[in-house]
Amino acid sequence: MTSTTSSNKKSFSELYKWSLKRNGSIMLVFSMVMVLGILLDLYVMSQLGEGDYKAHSGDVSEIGMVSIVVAQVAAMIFSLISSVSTFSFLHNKRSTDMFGSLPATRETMFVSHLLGGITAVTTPFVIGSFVVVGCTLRATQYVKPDFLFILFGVLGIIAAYTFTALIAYSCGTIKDTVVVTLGVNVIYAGIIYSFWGIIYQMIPGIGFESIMSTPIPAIFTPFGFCLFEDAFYYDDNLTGIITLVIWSILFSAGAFIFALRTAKKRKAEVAQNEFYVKWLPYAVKAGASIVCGAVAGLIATSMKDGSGFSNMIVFVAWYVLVGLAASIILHAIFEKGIHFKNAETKNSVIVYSATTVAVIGLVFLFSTGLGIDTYVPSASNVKSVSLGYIRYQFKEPENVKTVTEIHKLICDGIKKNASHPYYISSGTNMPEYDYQYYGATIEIETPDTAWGNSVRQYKTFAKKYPLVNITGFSFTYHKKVGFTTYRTYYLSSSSMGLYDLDKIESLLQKLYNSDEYKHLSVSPVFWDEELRAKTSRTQAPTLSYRQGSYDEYGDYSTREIAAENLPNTDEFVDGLFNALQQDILADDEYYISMYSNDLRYTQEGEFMVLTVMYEYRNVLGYGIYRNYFSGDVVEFIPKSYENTINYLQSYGISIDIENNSKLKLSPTELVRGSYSDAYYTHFGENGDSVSLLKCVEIIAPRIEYAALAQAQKFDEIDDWDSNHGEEFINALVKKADELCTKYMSNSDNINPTYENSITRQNSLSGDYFYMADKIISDLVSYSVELVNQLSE
Amino acid sequence: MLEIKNVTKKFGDKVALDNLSFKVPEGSVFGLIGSNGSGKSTLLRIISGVFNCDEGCVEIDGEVAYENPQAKEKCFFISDFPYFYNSSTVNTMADFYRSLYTTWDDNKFKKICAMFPINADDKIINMSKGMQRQAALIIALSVCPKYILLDEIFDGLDPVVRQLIKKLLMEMVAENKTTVIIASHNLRELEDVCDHIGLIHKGGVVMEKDLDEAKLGMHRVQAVFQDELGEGVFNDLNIVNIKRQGKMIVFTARGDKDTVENAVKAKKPVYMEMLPLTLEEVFISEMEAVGYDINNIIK
Repeated sequence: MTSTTSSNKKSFSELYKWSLKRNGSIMLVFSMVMVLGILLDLYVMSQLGEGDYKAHSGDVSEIGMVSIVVAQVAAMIFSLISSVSTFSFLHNKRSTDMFGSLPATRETMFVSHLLGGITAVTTPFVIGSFVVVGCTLRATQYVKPDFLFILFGVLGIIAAYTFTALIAYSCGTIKDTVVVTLGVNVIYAGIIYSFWGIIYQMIPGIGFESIMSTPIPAIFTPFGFCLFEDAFYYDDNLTGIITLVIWSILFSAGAFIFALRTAKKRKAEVAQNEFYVKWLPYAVKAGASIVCGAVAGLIATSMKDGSGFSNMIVFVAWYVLVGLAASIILHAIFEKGIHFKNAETKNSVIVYSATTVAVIGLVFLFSTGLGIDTYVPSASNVKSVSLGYIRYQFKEPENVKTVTEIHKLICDGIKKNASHPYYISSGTNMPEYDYQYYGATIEIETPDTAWGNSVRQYKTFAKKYPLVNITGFSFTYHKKVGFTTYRTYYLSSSSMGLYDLDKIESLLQKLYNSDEYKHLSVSPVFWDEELRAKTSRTQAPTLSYRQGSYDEYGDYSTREIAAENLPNTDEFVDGLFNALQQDILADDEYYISMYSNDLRYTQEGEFMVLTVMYEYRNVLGYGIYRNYFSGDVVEFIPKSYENTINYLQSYGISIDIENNSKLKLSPTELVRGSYSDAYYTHFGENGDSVSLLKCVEIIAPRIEYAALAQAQKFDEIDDWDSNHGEEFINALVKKADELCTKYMSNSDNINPTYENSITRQNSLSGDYFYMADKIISDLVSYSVELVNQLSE
Repeated sequence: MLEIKNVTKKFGDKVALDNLSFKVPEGSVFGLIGSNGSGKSTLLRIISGVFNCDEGCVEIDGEVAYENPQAKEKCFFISDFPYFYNSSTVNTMADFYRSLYTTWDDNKFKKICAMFPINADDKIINMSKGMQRQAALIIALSVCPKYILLDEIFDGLDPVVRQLIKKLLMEMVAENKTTVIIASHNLRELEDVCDHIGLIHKGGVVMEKDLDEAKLGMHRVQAVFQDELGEGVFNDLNIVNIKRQGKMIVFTARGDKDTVENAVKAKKPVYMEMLPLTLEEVFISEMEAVGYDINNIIK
């Protein structure tokens, strides 16, 4: 026994060495690719100025982008090539004879070759990656090293290599190994992405979002590793990383165990030219036909705007044709041609027919057949519900009921076009959304006396959330029994007539005006331009502000306001950061929405900038986010952020707006902030134009809020708004119209270039802020008068 | 001792080896012969551990060979198409086998290399089929295995190299008591080196015995008679095959030499000759006996 063990150990180490040697050429080519990537990065770095480095203020992956992307993609490609090549001895009769007769067990043969191959691919990747990190760190001090991509790369190589080895042991030829490995990866990703919309809708409690927020999609498809890079950073904290590492190890371990078992049991003679795992080719063919068919069907239906029935016909026709073609092509590859009478062909026909009937049946059932698309949960069964992509959960029964009523109105619209297979078209036109961050950033800027530059340090944390560009509605119901139900509806412009938009708007306004919503929300909501909420506000302490004004060039210059007693120490920043982080992370019910604030002060000749940036979001998912152009005027910290408030108050820099005793809000500044929000955040970035009057209309609630604060009537805000709110806004817009007429009649106030084209409805661009600023200042002054006037 | 015990091997529905049993004596040169597809190569692969058998087992010195590195180290198998690493030379392949076989003999390697018309630093992939076979044999002999399994080793080799190989194999048997098993259709070559033969047909053993014994147990007679003899004239003998050409009869029969000779002489032949039997003739005769339709194949 001892002799056998030592003999095995010797065989293992020798076979490992030889496996490594065999992969020498792959190591060499991979290293060359890495070197090329690094050289490209060095070139890019040499072209970047210092400011650019600062702009790339993130981690090394932003600077060493070329080489890292090259490294990750190359790692996957070389893993496939090396693995297929290493295990080719299983598929070649000559090499099978040679390796099979060597004095080593099959397990030894498998493990030694696997480890040899993994070492061969991992070595250039790791060395190259460390060189990238070294180069970027050497090139700039503004880059922080990020070694995570190296860890994930290595995990990816191990997963990919082991998975391909498993496939190699399951297949009979090199060609089949390559086709199946690529096929499984593509099919896996394809099935997830083709059907996520349907899955998302059809199974209450299983939302695609929750699947995507884990590394499952990425880790189960090893060669899709790079494509799903985001998933690896899905949770920018230690728990997320550990979770990912565990998933990755579990996947690799699973593939390893199955491959080892197959290696032991596999009959060398059977697996030459044919699959050892008999069901594998059928599974791949079925998967390929589903993915190709579904993708073709969804693309075809998305390209036409027909009736429900015709959409269904188009989907089925494309699904059947393309799915069949994919199945036939793979069948011909696996069987080396098509032989009509053999058992494999007959089985393939059966498998194809069964999967096609099943998939089309499921699509039909879950599109219209079961009526799930128009199912609205009963309000009494709902614990909380969110509308749109925000996470804030309405809990008040009255608000929950209002949301279900909105949901019913949407469903009524759908039912008007009853034959429409809703999900087939909605699956290709989901509401658009993008990811942004919320979280906190603390930035300290101190002078670097040696170089004359300032050095920035960052402390930041962030969580992703989807920012919705509203093209539809989504509802998330948390049922009392514990399930979560998601429903998403795409409202195309052509189908808008089907919905009772007036009623929807009035219900939305009811939500916005509810106490529950007011408690947390800040600014008015934009839902297109037509569905504007009347007002919303928050009662919150004020942190600080800074003052400034627009100069003649339309630029905003600021005057720093020093905050008293704010210590210039890391300890203070750390404390504030921790308090803020604690509050934000504890807030698992809703997102806040607010923008950044610069708190600047001078202390004994040393200049320091402290930025506390966090972001609120409103009900329909619009983030109000701003960190440039105008000085941020005011910050609202929710009452629930007790840690932050207490912390700031302990330094005497937090003011409770409700007590109002130390209120230093400048109404003009407050409004200007909103105004630029309106312009830049919601219109300017899309390149759309917006009229000045429209901006005024949008920011009117803020002006109202500011005016009330100025008029010392903030405590009466609810009653005042319901009694005079509408009248106030109408009067304000009217005044704005008058002011436009007044200022535009004076050519001193406008840029001569646009003299002839400007109208009060004209678009605003940077040159007009000078004039707009004057109008807004006047409006703010007028607003206080108006408040007093209406109050009487 | 290498013992094949009730080995059965199936490829799907096809039975390649059917309850095969025999022993290969230590230090013998065992010729494995049989028709195409009879299972010779399959048997070699089972012995060397490439395949596992469905039933029965192969024992090498009393140990089951399959998945037993210790037993497998005693064997070296050269398949009909030997495999080498890409871009490898005889020297690099020698490094590979040196690292895996404790019995590797460097001196022998150098000595044998010098005997073959091969440059050990040339890439094997560029060599001819015959040269590759020589390279494989150089490696095999340098490993100094106790059992060496050769599949169609004489194919593609020129007569000089064939003689050299035979000589080297005989030396190994003489010096190290190596057991050699050669599967081949080249019966002429086998006849020169083998002392035992095993004839396999349709997965079963037709005959397994000492070569001389195999030859001695079968006799070929050519005789001319005064008159044409009728059918069944030699029915008393165990006739394997018989051909008539007028008054001349040529037949092969099993049995004792004297019995056969006396039976012919009893018919008073004008001319009679006992012809020596080659291994090929033994093979054909035996195969005919088990229903292998030689005549149809030749026609």
